[in-house]
Amino acid sequence: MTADSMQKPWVRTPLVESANLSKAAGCRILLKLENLQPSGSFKSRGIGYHLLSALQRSSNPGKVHFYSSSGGNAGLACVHAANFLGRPSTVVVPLSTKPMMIVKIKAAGATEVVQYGATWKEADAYLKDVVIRTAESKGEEGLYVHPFDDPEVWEGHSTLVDELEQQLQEMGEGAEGPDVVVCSVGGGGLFNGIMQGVEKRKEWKTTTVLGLETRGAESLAQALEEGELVTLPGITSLATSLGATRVSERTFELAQKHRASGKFKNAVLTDAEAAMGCWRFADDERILVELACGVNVAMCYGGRLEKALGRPVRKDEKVVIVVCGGQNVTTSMIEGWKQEFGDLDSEVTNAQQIADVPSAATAPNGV
Amino acid sequence: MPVEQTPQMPAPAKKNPWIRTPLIESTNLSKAAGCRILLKLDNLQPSGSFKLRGIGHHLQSALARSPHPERVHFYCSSGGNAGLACVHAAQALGRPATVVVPVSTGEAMVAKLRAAGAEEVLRFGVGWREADGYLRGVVMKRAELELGGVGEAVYVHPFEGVEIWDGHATLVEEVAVQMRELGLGEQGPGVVVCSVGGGGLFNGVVQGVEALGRDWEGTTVLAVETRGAESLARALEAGELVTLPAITSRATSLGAATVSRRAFELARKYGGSGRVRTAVLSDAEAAMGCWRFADDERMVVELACGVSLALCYGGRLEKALGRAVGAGEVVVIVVCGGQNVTTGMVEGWRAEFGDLDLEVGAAESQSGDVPSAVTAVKGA
Repeated sequence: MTADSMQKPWVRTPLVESANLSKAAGCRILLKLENLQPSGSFKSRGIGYHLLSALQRSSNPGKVHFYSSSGGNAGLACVHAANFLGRPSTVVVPLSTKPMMIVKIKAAGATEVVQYGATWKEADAYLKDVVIRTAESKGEEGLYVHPFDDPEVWEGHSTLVDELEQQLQEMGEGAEGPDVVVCSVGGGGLFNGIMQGVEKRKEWKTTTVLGLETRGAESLAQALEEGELVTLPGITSLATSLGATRVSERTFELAQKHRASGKFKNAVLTDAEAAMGCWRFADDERILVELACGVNVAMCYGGRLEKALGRPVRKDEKVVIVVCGGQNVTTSMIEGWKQEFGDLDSEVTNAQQIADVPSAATAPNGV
Repeated sequence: MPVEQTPQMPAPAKKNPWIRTPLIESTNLSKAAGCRILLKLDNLQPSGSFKLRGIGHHLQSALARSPHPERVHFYCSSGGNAGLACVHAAQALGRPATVVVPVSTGEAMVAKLRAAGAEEVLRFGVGWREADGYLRGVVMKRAELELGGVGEAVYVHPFEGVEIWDGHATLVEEVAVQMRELGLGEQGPGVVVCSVGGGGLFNGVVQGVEALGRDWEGTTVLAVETRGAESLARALEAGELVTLPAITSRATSLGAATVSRRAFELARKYGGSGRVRTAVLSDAEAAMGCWRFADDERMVVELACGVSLALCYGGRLEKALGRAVGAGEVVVIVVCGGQNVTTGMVEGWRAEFGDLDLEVGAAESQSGDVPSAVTAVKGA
């Protein structure tokens, strides 16, 4: 690590090969552990980069105060990054936000957490129209931080691909890049960063980015079907961190362009499948992730990866799963999902050929 | 004169079977403990625990010693994390490994040994002693006979041996490098917390701290055991090695009836100066460490590891150190990991022991700072 990289509000996360998930998927599964970012999710990168750039641009960085209206991982990332950079941050969240998330935002060092309004829209409007204006009238430089729709956020997320390239090299892998990079798509910020990182690497010409959504939050899949950006009437998926009714314009453009070039594929899974990804991942790798992340991990089980790619996978194929993380999860939630959705794939978990995948033994109807 | 024409062979890249694990500062645990808590995440070793370091180093050394490394086959009788480490390390070094486990070993652990690439997993005997006897007396002997002298069977002990301790000492070397990278300077942390079972990890950690010389002279190694597996604490009390009549703690990974002689000697040597301290916590406290860590940091660890993390909560660290901690003090906790855990087990512990520290949890959640105070069973 150079002195320069020490100044950043995100960290280089490990890239580890998972024996258990590789067994389950039938190829080499490499996990990029973004759940270990200081804020608990990949958002530390994009939002951290955005805050860093904003401070560098500011003529008076000593007066900057950051404002976010996310009661989720974007809010956590904003507070962590602001704290790291020595600046104050205020988060306005809707009244429906869980107590645990509010405590996490406070523990991260938020100057203030305000609960307002029934929905995110109301909290966001209150933040912009009242909180920031009041602060500015007192001489502060108030900076509104959007959770995903900003080129600087994407630029920050693309540092994940830079690291990936270095780490594959350190592991003694070739320069041709992984065969597949799996990431989930909410508003599309993470996907934009990854796709940008992949497309600028000439040696990675055979790398496919696989973008995943949950049914009920599939704003990208629907846009691709329609051939134009669409706004979902509502979010019906339990994976709330993926709940953007409309993906960013850039996401749609990149997805359309690279679907044609063959460098992008997408898939939509149910909440039950995402939940299965969460509890099996917890039992196989002892890491807890949100449904929004479990949807990626679910690819490893029950032949879903091959189905999504539309082709068989080779044993030596390298598939990188971006474990995007998220803090809105507890063991109780995971156990709840296991009970509710545990019978999913029982025919798969019971199948002889994967009896040596540990989570097949811990499934409710397991071997 | 013939000139030696041997072409220069590039030395094969010496790749360790273990990885450099992250050292991260935990906001939530720091809040709970009242000082800077840095987590050394050895739960992220490919085998799921710190054991990959020691056992990996031991296997590496055995191969280096062997006249025919390509004939070596490793044998281990642990159905736990040592067995997993043996299989993972053997796999990384390109050699086969066979594991014999007692029949009581859970399905998930057997599956984990297989998924890790064990050549064979055999189940034999009611306890470790029987499995180990069968491994050494039957499996290894048969293999040696069948191979007619062309094979080399190497027995891998789960925690005894200088090579294992040397391997564990790499953890401290890494922490020193990582603290520099984090801008924390050359000085060692105030405290390094680690769990003690047979004492292999503890021996490596103390050895690593010793090797760093003056910069780490002020560092206290805090060795934590569970009640019912406190073979080190008992030995220190008695002034000599003792053998516990039985292991009554549920933290089975800490269940060594007698601690290694080296651990006893090191703890005694440094006990007077305060460079080593010991603490014994109950299973309930270890369980609390597990579920609170899961909610605060979203990682699931065994009781054997949770006992170290439990120190962050309810003022236990100060009590164990016998002094107050400062907000700026750096405390490194070795998150030793362990694969014998599921979310179901953690939830069971939460249900069984969730009312421990009720008053502490209530106070913390009133101050509104520690997430797991909110998720406690009877928490606010």
